Amino acid sequence: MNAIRTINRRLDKALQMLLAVMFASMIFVVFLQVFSRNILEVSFIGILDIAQLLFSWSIFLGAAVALRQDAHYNLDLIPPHWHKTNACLKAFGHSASLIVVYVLAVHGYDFTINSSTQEIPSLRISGLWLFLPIPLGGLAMGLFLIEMIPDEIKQLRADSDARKAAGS
Amino acid sequence: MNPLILLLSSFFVLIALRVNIGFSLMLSSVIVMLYEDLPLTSVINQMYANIDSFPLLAVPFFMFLGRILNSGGITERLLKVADVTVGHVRGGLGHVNVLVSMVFASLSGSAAADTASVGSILIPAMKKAGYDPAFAVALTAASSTLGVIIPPSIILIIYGAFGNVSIGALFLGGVVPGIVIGLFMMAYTYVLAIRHGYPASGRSSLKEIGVTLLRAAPPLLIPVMVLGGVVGGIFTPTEAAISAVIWALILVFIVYRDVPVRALPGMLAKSAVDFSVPLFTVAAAGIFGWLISYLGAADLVVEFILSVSRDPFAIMLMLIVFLLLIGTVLNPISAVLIFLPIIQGLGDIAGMNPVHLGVLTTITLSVGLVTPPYGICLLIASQIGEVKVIDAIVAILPIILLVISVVIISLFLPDLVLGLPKEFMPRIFGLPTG
Repeated sequence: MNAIRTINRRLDKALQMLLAVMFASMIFVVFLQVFSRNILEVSFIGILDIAQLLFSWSIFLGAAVALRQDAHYNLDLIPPHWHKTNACLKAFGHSASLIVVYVLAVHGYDFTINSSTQEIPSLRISGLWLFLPIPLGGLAMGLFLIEMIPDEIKQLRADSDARKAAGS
Repeated sequence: MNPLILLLSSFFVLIALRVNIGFSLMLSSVIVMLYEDLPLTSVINQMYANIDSFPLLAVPFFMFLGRILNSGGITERLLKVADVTVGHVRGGLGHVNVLVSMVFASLSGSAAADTASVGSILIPAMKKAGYDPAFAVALTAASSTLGVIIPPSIILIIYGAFGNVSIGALFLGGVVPGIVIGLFMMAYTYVLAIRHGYPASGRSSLKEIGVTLLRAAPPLLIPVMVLGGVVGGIFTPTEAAISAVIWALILVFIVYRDVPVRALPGMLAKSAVDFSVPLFTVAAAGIFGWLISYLGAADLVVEFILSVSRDPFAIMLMLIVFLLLIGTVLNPISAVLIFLPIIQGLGDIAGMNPVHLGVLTTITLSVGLVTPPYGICLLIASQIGEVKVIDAIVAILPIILLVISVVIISLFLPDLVLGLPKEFMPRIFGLPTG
């Protein structure tokens, strides 16, 4: 478990650095397009495809980091002081998310491989690059969930034992 | 089992069981696709198709803009502007709260960011000045929702991109109702100030007003750049957003030097995680929305509504009630993405102009940001003000009624929404130009 924790910590840090670089590049290329179109009155072919590529990579890798940070949108129907119920639901929610991770990773991989024969004409690169962030994001989510779910179950058990001890 | 019922019921059960909304959208879609024997690779295809949109690129840039403006001293400069212009009116801090939210709304388009930044300064100040803490919390939360109505608004961008409606016209359509809601909130604050004896700040001299406005002029150029650029046809919304980002970066890092440059990579990474959350939901809504259309949900809802009434206003009133209800459990972005086919289907039957419908939808859904259980702005403000959420809910009810009254007024007086777009973008309405 410690090995997974270490891998995830490093993966999280690497993804955040990559996200910063990709977002900065996205800002740069879109600004370059605005500047060249409005000031130089020249349009670069394919520059918006680069922005779109960076955009989809940022979304799926960012969504994986957001999962580890518990930053995704949730519906909190249960009052916050119902700790046990909330902890149970959190563990359930993350366990159910494993199915989504499977679809993203496995079917995302199939779809990516199928697209590799196509080409993005403006950039002259394989279509694989468009869809690759989907299985990669799914894979990162899976790794994070492998760490998060047992931690949540362990916490639930610890809380339950503490309550029993306090009761006796 | 009817696959549509399976789709909707599994989605609502999953979000009630605290599965993340984006994941619930995908999971319920996967269940129905397995049930209907549809290939799961379509999930990936539809997800990608939903984010393959240039206008959507404006979303990360406007979210980043909000983060830049919050990190620097720009919020304080805007607060000073609001203070010298309306602080001398009875209930001054309340008016400052509303006005600064209106200005902040025109800069960043994020309601939660506004609640956190303005609230952390003004709620303690209002409490100290003797305002009812629950009212301070309620007013801060409610005025923050102007961020999704006054342009640039992320929800209006998403509505325009997926509903095939001009984002520039939606931006212009949100201006007047947003200002009217702000004025209604100020009027309500004034009435309470008279009743409870809330104080006013001293009147500022003309010189002081001039100096303050001059100091705040550079950030105040941002709404001019965004709205003027988009409406004038100089920029697309995405290009306007990037221009505003570059301008804000220059202000914060070079002109004001409020934030050290070494903080930039961290801000970029945090923003990328921030925008990935709504946009992952957008991607997940791609497959869910496709199934909604595939299974004919829009037709069913339309049929049901028509069986109740065929009067256009009655249809719209039912739609408003429906949006208020779904707004309580879904954030506005998810609600727009999931229910857009139904909203537009009903709008068509009621003969609504698409811009009018988009703005009314957005205002109505913005109410959900302050109503439980998803009232994120109210939760943030309650936490800052150390006020029980139930007290804040009671205090915010009259303000919610004011917002709903503006929705109803705008429904019966379409020019409140359509006046500006018709004036500045007549082509969209088939009107003669010049």
